[in-house]
Amino acid sequence: MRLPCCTLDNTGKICYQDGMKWRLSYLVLILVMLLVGYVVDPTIFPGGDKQVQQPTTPQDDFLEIDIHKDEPKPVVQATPKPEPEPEPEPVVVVEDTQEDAEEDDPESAEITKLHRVLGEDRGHRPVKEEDVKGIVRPNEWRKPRMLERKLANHIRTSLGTPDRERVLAFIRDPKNRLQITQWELLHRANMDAFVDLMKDTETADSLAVLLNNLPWISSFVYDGEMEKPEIALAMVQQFRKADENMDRDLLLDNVKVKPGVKRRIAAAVAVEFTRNGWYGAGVPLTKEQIKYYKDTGIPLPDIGSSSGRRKGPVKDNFRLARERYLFFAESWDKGLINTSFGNLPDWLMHFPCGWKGDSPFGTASSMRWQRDNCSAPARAYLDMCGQVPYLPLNKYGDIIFSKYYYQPFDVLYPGLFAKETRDIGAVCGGVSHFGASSACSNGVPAFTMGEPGHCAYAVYVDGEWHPTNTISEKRQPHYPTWGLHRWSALQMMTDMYKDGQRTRDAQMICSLAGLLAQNKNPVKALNLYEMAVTMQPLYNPVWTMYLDTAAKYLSKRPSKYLGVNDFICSSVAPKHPEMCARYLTETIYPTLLSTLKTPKQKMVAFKSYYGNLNENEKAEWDMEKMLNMQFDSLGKGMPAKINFFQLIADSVRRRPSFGPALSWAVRRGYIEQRNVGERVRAMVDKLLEELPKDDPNYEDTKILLKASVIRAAEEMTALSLENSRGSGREKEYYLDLANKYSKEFLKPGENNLPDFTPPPGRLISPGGLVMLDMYAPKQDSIVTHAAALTPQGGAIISEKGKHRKVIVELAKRTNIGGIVIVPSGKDCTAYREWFVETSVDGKEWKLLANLPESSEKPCVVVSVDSASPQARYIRIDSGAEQLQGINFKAILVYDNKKGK
Amino acid sequence: MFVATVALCPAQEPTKPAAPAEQDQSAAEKPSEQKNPRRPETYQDALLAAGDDGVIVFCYGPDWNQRSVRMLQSFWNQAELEKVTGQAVLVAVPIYEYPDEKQADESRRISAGMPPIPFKVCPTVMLVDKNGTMYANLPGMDFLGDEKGSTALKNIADKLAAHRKMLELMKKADSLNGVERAKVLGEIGELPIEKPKNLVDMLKAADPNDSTGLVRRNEHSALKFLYKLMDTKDGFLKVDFHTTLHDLMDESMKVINDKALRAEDRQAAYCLLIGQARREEGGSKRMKNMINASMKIDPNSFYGRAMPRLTQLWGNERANETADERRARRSKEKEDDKHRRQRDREVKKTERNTSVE
Repeated sequence: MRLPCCTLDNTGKICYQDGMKWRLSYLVLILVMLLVGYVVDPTIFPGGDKQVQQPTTPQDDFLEIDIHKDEPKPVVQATPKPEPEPEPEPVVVVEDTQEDAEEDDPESAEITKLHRVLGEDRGHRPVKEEDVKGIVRPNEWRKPRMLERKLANHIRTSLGTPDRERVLAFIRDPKNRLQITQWELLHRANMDAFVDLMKDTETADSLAVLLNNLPWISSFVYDGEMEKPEIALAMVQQFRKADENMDRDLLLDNVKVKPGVKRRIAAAVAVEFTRNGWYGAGVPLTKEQIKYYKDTGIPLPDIGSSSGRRKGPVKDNFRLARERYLFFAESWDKGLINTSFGNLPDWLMHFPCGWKGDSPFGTASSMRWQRDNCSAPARAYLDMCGQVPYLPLNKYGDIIFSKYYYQPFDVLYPGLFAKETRDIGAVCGGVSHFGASSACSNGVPAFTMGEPGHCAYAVYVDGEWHPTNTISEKRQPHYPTWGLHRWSALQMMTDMYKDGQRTRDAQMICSLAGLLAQNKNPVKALNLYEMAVTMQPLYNPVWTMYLDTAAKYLSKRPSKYLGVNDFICSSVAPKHPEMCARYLTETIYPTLLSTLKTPKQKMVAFKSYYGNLNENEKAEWDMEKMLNMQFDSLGKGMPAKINFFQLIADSVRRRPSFGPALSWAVRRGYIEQRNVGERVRAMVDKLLEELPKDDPNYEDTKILLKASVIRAAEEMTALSLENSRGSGREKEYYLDLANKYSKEFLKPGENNLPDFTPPPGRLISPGGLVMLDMYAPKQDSIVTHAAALTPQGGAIISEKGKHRKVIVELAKRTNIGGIVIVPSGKDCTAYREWFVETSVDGKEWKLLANLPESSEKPCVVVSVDSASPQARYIRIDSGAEQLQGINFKAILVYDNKKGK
Repeated sequence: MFVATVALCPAQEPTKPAAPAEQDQSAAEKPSEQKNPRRPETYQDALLAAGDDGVIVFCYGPDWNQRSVRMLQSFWNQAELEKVTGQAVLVAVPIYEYPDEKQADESRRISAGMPPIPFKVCPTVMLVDKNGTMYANLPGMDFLGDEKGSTALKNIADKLAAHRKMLELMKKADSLNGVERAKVLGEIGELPIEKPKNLVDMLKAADPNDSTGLVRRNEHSALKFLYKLMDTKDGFLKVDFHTTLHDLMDESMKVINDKALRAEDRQAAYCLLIGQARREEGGSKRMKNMINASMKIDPNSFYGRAMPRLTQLWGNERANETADERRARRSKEKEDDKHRRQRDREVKKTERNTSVE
């Protein structure tokens, strides 16, 4: 681009010619004239024919800020002044048509031709968006900095005032969408690295074909979490070099699928491998290994990097990513994977394509084996993990967690870790990885996830994620969604992408907002962010950007933030309560709660959340952070606190699945002043008594709520004893609850105790109190603790660990004559190193007995023959040497007085 | 969600569902398709027509697995297969991913009464005897080879031959008693197909004293043996792992020296000792000797092939220990001893006062 008085250098900087600076004033004048001309006749500019200059109506009913105050007022009428010199070429960006480009540059003409061929190649199923021509000529990608500015200018100019109708019309034009996406990519790139990449003209021209293609670049930028696009594009370029036919869908004659499958694979692999940092070439083979393979004639394997991420990309070496791409490309070309893979939406394709690039399960050879030998209909992958035997020890007696477990067999399974796992065995981790890997290797989306003390996996079947091999609903997917390893985030993302058109529109608007924000136009940007969140409230990144920008520029008027609060609660809370709570606690409350003056106002904000909860949504997440934040913000006034507890109780009454909040209320009530705690308990009692019995879920609800309350009461009692504070009524409350409800939880005969000869004294444990040092929330049914001190039998279960303890506090101090311990298992072989202690005050403990090393009897009877100790507390300790948990049916304590 | 359709599905025709009336009509119109008694339409028909060679089932995924669909033509419908499979009756069973109502009916009708396909892997070839019991399963390409099924043909022939041999041996065994019967039954245990579920019981009945060693041979499980001997809890090694090489030696050597057992089972017993020797201080030399001895049993077995690398991997484990590591290990051992002695003292003290049953 050249002007009469100045030029733009490679970086886009204006360079003045010698002695020509005085001409700048002319340039300004010309610009003004052009602007006037534009208003009078918009068609003088490229793209201007679509613009209609209207008086701007700010869509800022939320913001109530004059969006024009920072902008120059548009000139409606002006009289052109006579020009001192011939009119120079305008500075604004001029759109070049493809035809012009072909004329200018034979190289680009060839690429453009190829571009067209690509669109035509799909033949039977043309997609309109494929044919969209933007303003970017292929050779312009060689100068990304200049291109970014050009795009930004062009978008801003074409968009004009970003009112709602104009923005919607703008983003629905495919041509504009292409430009926005291209700008977004350039904007997010590390420009120095990007410039380096594009210095190679072959690379630049080759990538230009993809980057000027709307479906591909949209998928690349928006259908995953694109980070470091310059590295991802370098990967894509490698894929193109390795696969000449990337742009052709060879196997589309007999299967109806979305076009461009291999290019979509390339985008998905590159984005996932880049964001996870799976750059390296894997672990190099040792000399011995290489020799072994040469001697045996086995082809050299590809072994994934077990050392995890590397700090940066190895130059020109994306072997793992390339192999992943080639694996899927070859599998697709040859029709070796599930045909539904070709029809996966682009975001779902990221799951198989981005399957564990740094795991031995993710090597091409291992995946190839699973593709060939574990191919099944999608639903069958839910059981595929059953192929792997659950074996914590291998034949050498080595435990799975040691490096020796697979080591002796590695040589027999070069690069075939999945096969090795199937043959040798694994525990939950390997079993779940095998299942998920089988699915991904066959093009079916799946991922593994952590659960407390376990590893599970999920498969996408019939439009939903199905967890399998699972033991808990507290799940942490290993596939990160928006940087979060949360099941709720993944579900929200799934719902978001299912609503594809709205999501894409919201993404476009978000990019536009980013562009305006970059141009120091925060008010306009805020309007656009607001528009984007309204359009797609499930799009997590836009919330973050919106609220960050709002925090910087928005006037802190409570009514405005309350509006945002209500909107988030109504649009997100019903289906995604955890994510909604996250938004509220991380972004809304920090500002909102400081702007609201009275507890009453705050309660209005909180009610908005609880009022929108969906009845059926299980609250299997840690809600205490939000509850505490809300509660603490209410200040010290008693009525507000009671009101809040009432709000929680009411919410739980309407939505029993929110029961864990009740547990929080009881405990929190205890920490508060005594009368608050008592009123909470009264409230809870009332709630439990008033449960609607005609509700079909009455039994489940009753158990859930009572268990929550009893657990809280027991924890509260333990806390009370530990801190030597409280009214002493905590224990009474707990015992009352336990006695009242525990019978409801015991099925007749379920906990029958075995026959045994009891010690001669009287049974004194009923009515005592059980305290565990580490609860096992999943397995332990706390409501049966009280029954475990009676001949009826109950259950006491703790988490595993060293020195696990269970303490029984007796109703009064007495002389101990004997103790009977009934384990849940068949015998007492597990109790080596266990011991029983007694205490008068719960502080100083004396050893009473060591449990037998290995007894095959169904229970242990400890008899104190002489000098029976006086005690109020009995403690059973699992010892220091074993990782064991308490697991008893009963602990019966007898005194030393004969007769019943 | 799934919208893929398969246009080229040449071998689908024999398995297409049809209403009963249509079926009769099509039978009249297409006599050539119905004439081949070796390839009936449904599994039930196949079972009815099956002789001693039983039924061979090919499972394929019409709406999701193109490879298996191609294999219908390139392998399953080839005359070569009929030559290899003797008198076995052949039936192809479609496994749909997202079937519509018609496809679901078709699938149910064709596969009714069939034993479950393990993990629903496709393509799979299952060999079923005339009573409907699966005696061999060839899932995936490890067993089937390429799409022409070159490996599959060989595997099917081998399995079929083994099945025939088993029937022959069963007949022979029926006419014998005692040890002679046990020896014939023992041969069945060596065939590369699923063994009859009651084989061990039959062996025990024929040879109650196990003079042939065949009961032990067929009953022994390397894993059960391992878990019996190791110091385990819930399948995991205990944290305070007390087992020593000395504890394992007698039982393991019994298995190793029992030549009635399979070579791999004997080697597995060696594995246990080798692993224990590696874990114990100063066990390196014994470990190497045991590796060599184990290899002599069968160098080509699963364990035999992995053994040579073990010496190299584990041989110098202790030698590579750094001075710091050695110091830390010894200090820990000393601490453990101290703790144990202290506990013993406490135990003796409390035993005076308390009795525990």
